[in-house]
Amino acid sequence: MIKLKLKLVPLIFILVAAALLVVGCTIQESPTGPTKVQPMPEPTAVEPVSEAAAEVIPEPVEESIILDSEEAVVEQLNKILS
Amino acid sequence: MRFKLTLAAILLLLILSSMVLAKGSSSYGNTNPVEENCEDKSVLAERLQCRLEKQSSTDIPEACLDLTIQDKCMDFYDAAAYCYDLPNKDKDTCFRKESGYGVDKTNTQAQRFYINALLYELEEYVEDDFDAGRLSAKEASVLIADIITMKRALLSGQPSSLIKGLLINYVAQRGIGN
Repeated sequence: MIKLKLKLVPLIFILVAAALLVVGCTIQESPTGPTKVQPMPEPTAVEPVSEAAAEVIPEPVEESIILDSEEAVVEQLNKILS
Repeated sequence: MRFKLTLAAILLLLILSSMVLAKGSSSYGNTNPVEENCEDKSVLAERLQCRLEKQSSTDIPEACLDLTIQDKCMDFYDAAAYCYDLPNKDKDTCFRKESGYGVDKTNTQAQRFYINALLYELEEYVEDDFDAGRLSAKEASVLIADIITMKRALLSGQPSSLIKGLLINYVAQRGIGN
């Protein structure tokens, strides 16, 4: 009986080791396993509009134009650069 | 017999361990490539294309980077940022106010900041076209690089005739007014 128990010890050891390795493999392959931490995107150079700033509507200036298209912007640039 | 079983167990353990190590190494290499840093690119258009594709941005606007007036330039960008969210009819007034051009038209720096704001507005149209899928990241980055070249020349004190020449080329390339 004692001899039989002694023979079973390595067998149990093998089974436990194999079970631990299977668990290890599963964790490695799991998509939710260890992942590389992605760096945070850099902050934008243009700050978001604060509510206070957005509420301030600049006083109208006589020469101001309506910049409603690329053509209007280019026209104004040409005017200033002349 | 007992010794043989123990030896077999150790061998099995070593074989399975090497399998786990191999799997771990190969999956790291395939699924997690080294993150590309747009700021490492030396060519302006490539940096811009990279940022467009990754939806990232930079701390210091390209137009201000390494200029002698870099801090003033960044201050203006911060001050005028809200103008771009105003209705079209209020934008120009806002640019004039924040640049100082609306108060003093003889102030050269104020005039250059005002022009810079208008050029940024042109850049917004290009970015809108990219967002809408009308321009590829490469096409948009080339156009934005041209605008930034104009802005840098402007803020470096280059003559307005040079900026105007660059603007003529840009308008032709963009097909504005066709």
